Amino acid sequence: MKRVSLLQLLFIILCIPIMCRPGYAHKVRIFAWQDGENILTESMFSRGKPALNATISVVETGTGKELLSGITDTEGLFSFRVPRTDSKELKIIVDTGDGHKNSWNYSLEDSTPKDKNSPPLQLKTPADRQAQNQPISEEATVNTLQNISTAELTRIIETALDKKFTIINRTLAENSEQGPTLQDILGGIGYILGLAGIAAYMQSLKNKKE
Amino acid sequence: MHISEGVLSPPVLLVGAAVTMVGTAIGLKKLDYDRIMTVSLLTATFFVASLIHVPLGPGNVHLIMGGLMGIVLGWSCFPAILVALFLQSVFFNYGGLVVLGVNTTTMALPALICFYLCRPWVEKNGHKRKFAAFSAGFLAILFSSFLMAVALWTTDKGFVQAAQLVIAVHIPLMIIEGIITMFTVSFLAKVQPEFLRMGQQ
Repeated sequence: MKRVSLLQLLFIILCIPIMCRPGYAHKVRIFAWQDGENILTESMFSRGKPALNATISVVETGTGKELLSGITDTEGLFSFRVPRTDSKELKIIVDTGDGHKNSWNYSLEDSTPKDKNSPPLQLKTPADRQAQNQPISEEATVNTLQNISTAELTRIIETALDKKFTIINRTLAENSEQGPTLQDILGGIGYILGLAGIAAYMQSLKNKKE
Repeated sequence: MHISEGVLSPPVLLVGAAVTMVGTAIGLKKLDYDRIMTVSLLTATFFVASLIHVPLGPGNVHLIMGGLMGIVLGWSCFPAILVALFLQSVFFNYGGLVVLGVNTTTMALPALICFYLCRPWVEKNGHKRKFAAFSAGFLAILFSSFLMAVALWTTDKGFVQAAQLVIAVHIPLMIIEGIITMFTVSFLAKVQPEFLRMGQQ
């Protein structure tokens, strides 16, 4: 029977991380993003398995005061309206009840009502166009444009942008926490071998003394 | 199997840390020169085993390899699991440094129990060895889930249901680990009996 040397065994062990795709182990994670006037949270275990019936609590980061709490649905989702609070940051905590807990810091600054003092979006009036010697388009278009007030237009653009940004926000939030990389795994194995080396060295010192 | 930070109360954390310290001290004392490489090999195995997922059952579980650690290492499984869990919490963010003691206890103590329960049978040949190895893999996870349930239960009464859930979630893992341990031990007994230290423990 051919014997496998320790070195070969070590090689097999080193191959394991290469064979398996790094992912999350039994750990829950949560991320939140803004969807219009609501904050949506998604909680999941590794490999995208949703954490259902997990308790979500929203806490002010500074004071630790609990603002609201709830339970995730079958897809691990939970949404709530942006709470009225002075705190700039919220801590959204997920607790699955079986010893897994995680939190997500949500900055409220992006979700506060838009600054009223900012200069309103400037619409080009027909007079402007004429000043720039641009040919005036069809009369109907101009009339429609005149009927839309600046504030209304700003609102329409913001709603449209919010819709587009929801997807981007979600993707950003989802990607902000990466699983273990190959470097992490190999680094850890390196530490273990280093510790073995230290232990062997200590033992060899002891043996020399004897 | 990794309990997250901020779930357990200080007394539970302290008990876990105390058990881990005693176990690690005894484990290091019993560790002799020619076993160092074996211990570090199994530490590395334990370290990466958590990346292998078992896509069965309601929860999401990964391999632990407690039974194998126990059978091969005996008391040395404490320092091995402590180091592996420490590195997992630093590199992978599993568990946490404060709960390191409790997590080490929930995984190393069952491994040690399996060493005393199953090791004598592993020394024997044939089906007895296979059966012993399977039981070691199976029981290590069962006892681990039980210990984890106890840790959660003493923390907050509301966790009783969740604790039952922990055991239910890990049942597929118990069977899988039993099978893996069985094949690993029979393989090692054939090709590398020194690794298992047959007849010396």
